[in-house]
Amino acid sequence: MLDIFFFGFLRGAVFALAAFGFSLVLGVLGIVNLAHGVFIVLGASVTYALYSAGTPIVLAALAAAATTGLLGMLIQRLFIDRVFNMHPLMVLVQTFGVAIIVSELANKAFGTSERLLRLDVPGLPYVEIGSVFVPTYEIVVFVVSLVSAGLLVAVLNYTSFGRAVRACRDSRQSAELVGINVPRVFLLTMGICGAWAGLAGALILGLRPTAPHMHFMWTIEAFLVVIIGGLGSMGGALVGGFLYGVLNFAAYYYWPSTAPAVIFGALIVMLMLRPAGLFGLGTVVRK
Amino acid sequence: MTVQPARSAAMVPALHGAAGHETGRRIVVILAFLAIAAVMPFMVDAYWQRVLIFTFVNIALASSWNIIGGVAGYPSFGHGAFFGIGAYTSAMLIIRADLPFVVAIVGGGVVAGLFSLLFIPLFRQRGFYFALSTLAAQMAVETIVRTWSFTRGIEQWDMGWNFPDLGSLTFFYYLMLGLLGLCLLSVVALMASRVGYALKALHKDEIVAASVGVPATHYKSVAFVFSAIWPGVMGAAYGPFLVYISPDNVFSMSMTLNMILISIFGGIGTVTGPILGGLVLSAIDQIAWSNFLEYHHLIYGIMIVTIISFWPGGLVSLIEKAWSKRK
Repeated sequence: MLDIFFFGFLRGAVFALAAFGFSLVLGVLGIVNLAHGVFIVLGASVTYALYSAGTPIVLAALAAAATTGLLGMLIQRLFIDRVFNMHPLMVLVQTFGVAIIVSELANKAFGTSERLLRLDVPGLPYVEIGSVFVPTYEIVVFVVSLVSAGLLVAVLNYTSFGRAVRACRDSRQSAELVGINVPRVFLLTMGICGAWAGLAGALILGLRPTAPHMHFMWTIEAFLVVIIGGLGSMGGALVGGFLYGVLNFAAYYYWPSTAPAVIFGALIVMLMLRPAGLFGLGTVVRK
Repeated sequence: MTVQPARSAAMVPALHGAAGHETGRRIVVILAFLAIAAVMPFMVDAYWQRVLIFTFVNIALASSWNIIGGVAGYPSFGHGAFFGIGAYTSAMLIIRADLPFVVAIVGGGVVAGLFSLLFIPLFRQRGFYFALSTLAAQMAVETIVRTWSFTRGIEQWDMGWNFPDLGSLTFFYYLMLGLLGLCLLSVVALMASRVGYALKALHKDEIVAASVGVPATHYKSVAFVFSAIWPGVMGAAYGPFLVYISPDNVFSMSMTLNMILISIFGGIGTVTGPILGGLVLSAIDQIAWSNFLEYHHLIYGIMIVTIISFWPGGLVSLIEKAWSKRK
């Protein structure tokens, strides 16, 4: 019981990292990006490929994040830019189509088999906290997730680019009126979304098996994290990540065969009862 | 952020008034289509008959999805669940209870219709949230069907259902064609009725419609149940045709996506759109299957993205544009 909470909490940080970009795009562009999971699985695939080719793991992870960041910008420029103002249905189907294309190409490039890296911190593979043995790698992932999340929050809160992003999120028309280059903000937002999700994918590679075809489960999980934590605040996404981490661990521990149903059920209940999330600042997307 | 009219504008031009002569024209188009389809078995071989059966099912599914997703503007991403429920109901009625096929077909529709009532609380959501709620609901239903021993199969170790032989290919061809005809005619009847007008009003502006006295929840529920019954019926008839059903083939996400894609490709919110879209997309799909099997998924994805990015109004809007230029 205690370890479920403990590991759920540890994993929660990486769930939050995976969901940050999703929350940002939902807030700023006002769309649900069904291709979000692709960034995560692709980040994992690229990291695995580079690491197997002999690149140090840190460099491999950064290169993967850069790749998915560029991919995010590409997807925004080529596709989402055309439809984000239309009916939600169009965006959903289009981004799902993009997800199919990218994951199929990734299947061809990286293979369809599930990858998992055994990564240990040299000299100290385990740490004993109370009565629980924790792999040091899990703690590294936890810290890296929190640091990169903090970096993103700092960028959003203290730079002029961050102010522009927040302005677009709060009111697109007003942002345009005061001279913010909205298309550029959208482009960079998708880039950030891709990069952070790709980094999350690189970290997840050491935690659970990942393959390109799993992209949709990750999209759903990112959405669930955002919904639990609430839109409009990175802090909300973090709390959502922790809560979802515990829910995910508990569901797979107590009801291993019906765990997906429990998770989807939780999503439906959240959407019906508190669509603004437990700690949301109120609904940002009204459509 | 206020409600932005531009968001729904892309779909509105496709929704035009259904005057009396329009209903007549639709019925003529549908009857002509059915008549051509009825003589096809005398001209094509068994392989193409099977392809046409798939096409009929696709058209019926898209037409029923189109009522809630296109006409009412509530993009359901969970409609595959009703098709799966229909197929599974049919399997259990025929194999477990040993009932005749007709009972199974009706039963599939009834069970799917009843099941759709459970989805009605989701109408508190809209747009993205509605889509994602229905998607989660479909996945929850699929997981339950996959794990619950009562639905999983007749034996403990079964992961699906094997149907007995219920008829020849020609029998299934005319059965599917007949069901498709009933489905299309019922769609036309619904669109010409009060419900159709109410749904169009709700799509354009739900708040205004509600304020002039259109009971929104009532009509949305009617539309949703209607658009769930036909997938249930088609699933119940399609299961025995497939012979073996499992969550992988009847509950797959691509069933839902096909309904949506065919509607958009043909022309969302129109009656003829899903028919046109179903015929053309099935043809493209068939070519992709038979020539580029390995790249089938990729082609499918490229098709989705191309259609939405460059052609959001669908074939019907293109034809209408060409027509109005000629005049």
